[in-house]
Amino acid sequence: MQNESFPACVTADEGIAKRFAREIHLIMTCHDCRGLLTDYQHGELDAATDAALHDHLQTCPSCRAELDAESALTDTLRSAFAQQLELPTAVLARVRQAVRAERAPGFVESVRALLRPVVLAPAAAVIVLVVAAVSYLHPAPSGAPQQLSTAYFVQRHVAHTMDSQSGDPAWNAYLLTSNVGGADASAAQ
Amino acid sequence: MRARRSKHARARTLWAAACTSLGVLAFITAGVAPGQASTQGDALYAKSVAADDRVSYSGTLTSVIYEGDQAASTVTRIEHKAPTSWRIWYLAPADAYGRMIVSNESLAYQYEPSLNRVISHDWSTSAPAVATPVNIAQIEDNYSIEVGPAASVAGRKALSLSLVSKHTGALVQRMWVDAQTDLILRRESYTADGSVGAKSSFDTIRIGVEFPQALFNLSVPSGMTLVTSPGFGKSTTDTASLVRGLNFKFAAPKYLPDGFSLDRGSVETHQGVNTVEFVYGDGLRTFSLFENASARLPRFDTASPKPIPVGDANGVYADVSGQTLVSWNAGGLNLTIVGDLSPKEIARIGASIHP
Repeated sequence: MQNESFPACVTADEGIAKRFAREIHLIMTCHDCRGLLTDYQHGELDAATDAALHDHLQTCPSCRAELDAESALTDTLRSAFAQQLELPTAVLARVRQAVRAERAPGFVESVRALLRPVVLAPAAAVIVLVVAAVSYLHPAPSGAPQQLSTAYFVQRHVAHTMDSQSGDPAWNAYLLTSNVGGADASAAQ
Repeated sequence: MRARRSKHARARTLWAAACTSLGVLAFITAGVAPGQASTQGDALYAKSVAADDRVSYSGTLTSVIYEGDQAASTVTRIEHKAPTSWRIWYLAPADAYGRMIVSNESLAYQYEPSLNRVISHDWSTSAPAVATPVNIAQIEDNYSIEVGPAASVAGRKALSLSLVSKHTGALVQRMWVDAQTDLILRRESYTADGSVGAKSSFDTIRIGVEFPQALFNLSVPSGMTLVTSPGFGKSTTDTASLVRGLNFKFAAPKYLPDGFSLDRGSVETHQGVNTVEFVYGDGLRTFSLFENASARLPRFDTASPKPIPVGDANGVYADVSGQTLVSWNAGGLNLTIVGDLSPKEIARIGASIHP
């Protein structure tokens, strides 16, 4: 009889949902129903289960009575706590003032605040710009590792092998005396 | 009877001719036997490399260095007073025009009129063997030195010498030696593929010139400033102490080409980078292994680097001023090898180094 309440022609999604609800309804027992009554009362069941439980309640006086009792208890508790939760106005005011009052942040909280992206990103950008400008205006000191040139390696090799017999003295002397008249040479007198 | 006598006579004649031919052949063979030829070549080579210790001369020398499809050259006027005094005037290339170098083989003054400077170079520190007698034992161990046909160089009769590797059979160098004084008038060096890598030759030469010694005095003309070249580190054969003094662990090659051995080393800090150099050679060819903790490839100012695998590392190489340079990073170090070897040979050496 329950199956006949569904129309024969439905869309695919509707058909799946209703078929699922029908299956739930067909296997729903009073035990199942009692476990779902609280959620049913607060409207927290999905549509298919809600429909199946609704159908079951229509045909089961026992479960219907259980639902009525559950509803009565809920109403009683709600009315009772509604009176107790009403705090005095003065207390509420003090609580709100306390929440709004500024309190000194701790070290960890301060660090966390500084590490927030909204603070960190602009600060990092400024640091990068400053470092780039300083590097451009003031090259790295001589003590810092730099990229050596191929000419340095070749000159040093020639300097240490110019006594070998295979080299050309004129060419070697040309290599060793090229690009040494500027900054690399130090004043002797 | 006559016929039989005649037959015997022909047989004796043929036998005598055969014996004579064998004798002549044996004589000729003995005359050009490899051992004897090598001995002659070794003797001429030994005299040639020491000839400028006793022969003064004046001449114009043209040197050409081939780098791939390009070439560079110098043209110099050389005045040499035996045994150790030199004046070298540069006529080419353009950036060196007017440069003069006066040297006593230990100290060299470089005169730069355009800079109004005299630059002092202590070459004895980096290459002490310049002023010492040549030891050709290693060359004789690794090369066959063969005397070739005579030729004319700068209007003088010269004997040619070919230096062929005993290990690979490759012709590495040819030189033309003045028949009268043993001076080296022309030289050609060959690359691994057999092409000419470098050559130098006297266009003109006048031998036996009497120069006044004052011409070779190391002096600073008035108005010019004397400055000292920074040099390239003191050369030493005590390589063990060099390794101990490094602030990083030096890695030595496990493979060297046949005939090569460690010769000397040096340490120098340049632009804040402390770099050790070890020089290896086979008497004729050399290469230097550089290691530093910068882990930075060198800056290629004039040549375009090409990729080359060095073991598991990605290296680069280029021909720079007539030398092959291969560089790569491994184990936190930068390793660079410079020498007159092929990139493939250098990469094989590099692959045997494990920092």
